[in-house]
Amino acid sequence: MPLTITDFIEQVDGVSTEDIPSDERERINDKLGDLTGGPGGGGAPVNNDAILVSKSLDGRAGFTSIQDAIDGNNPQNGASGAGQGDTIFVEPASYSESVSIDINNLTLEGPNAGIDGNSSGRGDEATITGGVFVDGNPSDVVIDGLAIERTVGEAEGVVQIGSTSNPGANNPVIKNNVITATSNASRNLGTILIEHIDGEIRIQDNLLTQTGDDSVRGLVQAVQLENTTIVVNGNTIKTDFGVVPSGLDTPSPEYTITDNEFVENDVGVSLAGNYNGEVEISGNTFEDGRVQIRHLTGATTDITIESNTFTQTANGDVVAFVSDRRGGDGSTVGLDRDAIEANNNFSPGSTQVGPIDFDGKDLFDIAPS
Amino acid sequence: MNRRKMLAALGLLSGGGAVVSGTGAFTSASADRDVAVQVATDATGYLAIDDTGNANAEYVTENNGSSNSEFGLDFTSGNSTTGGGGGVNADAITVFADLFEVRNQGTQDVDVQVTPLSFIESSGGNTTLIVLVVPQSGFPNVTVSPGNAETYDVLVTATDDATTSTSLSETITVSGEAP
Repeated sequence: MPLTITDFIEQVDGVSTEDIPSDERERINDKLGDLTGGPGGGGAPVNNDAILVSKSLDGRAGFTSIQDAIDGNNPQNGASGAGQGDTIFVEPASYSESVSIDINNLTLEGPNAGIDGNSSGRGDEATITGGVFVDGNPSDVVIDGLAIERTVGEAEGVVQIGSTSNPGANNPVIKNNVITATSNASRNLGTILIEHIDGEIRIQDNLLTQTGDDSVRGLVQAVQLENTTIVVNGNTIKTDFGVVPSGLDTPSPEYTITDNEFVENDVGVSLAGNYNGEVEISGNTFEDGRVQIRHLTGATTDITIESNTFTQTANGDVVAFVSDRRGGDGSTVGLDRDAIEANNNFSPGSTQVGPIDFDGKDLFDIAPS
Repeated sequence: MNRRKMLAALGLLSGGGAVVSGTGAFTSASADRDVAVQVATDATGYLAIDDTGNANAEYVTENNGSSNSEFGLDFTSGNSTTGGGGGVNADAITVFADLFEVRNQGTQDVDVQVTPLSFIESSGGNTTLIVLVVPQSGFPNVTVSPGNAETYDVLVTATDDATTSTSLSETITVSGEAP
């Protein structure tokens, strides 16, 4: 298991990983991977305090199944199951199971904990093929450094926080994972599905991607999200739809969407017409998405869009960097396109077009020039 | 118990001082015998702290004003290399591989611990310098049997906010206790 900057930061009081700039974290983790067991690396220090899950225990205390480690079933060689505040470390292998977490302050840690999901410094993965479910209302669950897959249908996620019949979680953190959805339905499915949370959910430094032909969202937001904050930071998002804030309940959650890379999405960020929360979209890069930010009729105007880079490469097919859909009579308040152009970067350049008649509504776009 | 002070310094082009102290804990004995006790250098004590004999030994100092050859790390212009270098580069990551080792020259297993293993320097709210002491076989501690050693790499990152006045001067503790 390669060491990461997180391992060191955890030894220091008053400092968090977020105090280190993300590019520095990645650079350090790449080097630590070389030194301690990443690609081409040498030894493999192990967190001796963690509960071990491995497909080859070789006499070590631990479990061969992640769910068994959580539930305390089938312990091997004197192992004990997880309790509040514990860390479960999962060694590289494929784990054909669904994992359900309902323990407060539990950290589920893979071999690439602390290493960005899109980093070339990642070593061998521990892959969970049946998804991860956080429900039963646990607090402060952390999922760090795993590869997680699942074939998902409508209203399902690869990582799912709560469900219509189960409460979700308080303040979960999902970071440094590679999360891949294989679509098995045409709508409302995603790599991460949030149904019930309280407080803040932090989705950070993951790679969100998909297989299959049907539309997949990077982040699906569902019900019971009043008075919550959703932080989406440092991720690489390659799903058809990236982040789709909506307001099925009121008031809508607050969104902070910062420093992500949106790659070749159909729509990068889509602000639904019933979304009335506060949203910050800053420091992101959008590359070759057909519509990179979409603001639908009636969606919030409590919105900050600044310091983003919108790009169309030679192979790109960009319809709009920013698309603002307003009511047919033109009276619905939309986005301030002048301010957006002034406060963001556009490559090759930008131009304002519209209004364009779109099925009875008007489109006001910022398009590639 | 034998507590030592050691000096290390980490900086860009100007010097700073980093003090490293070591604690070696071994079982004591008492009997009606003649007793002879001698204070050894850090390289020859029961808990030996020394360079690994490779080219990076130039960054390891052994005196720093002490009469006991106390171990230190110095990456500053105050300890220029034979090639003329004196400090890490800004906006770069520098690795000093196999820099030093902690060897058990006692008679029983000891749990070796180096604390802290990381230092972070900030200026104006921005991180400027990060130093990590990276053990090669166990984290954060390791059990070392008699005659064997744990080897440490040191990784220094100076961000693009670092300047030639960026430096850090800190203390680490090396301890060994029978498990």
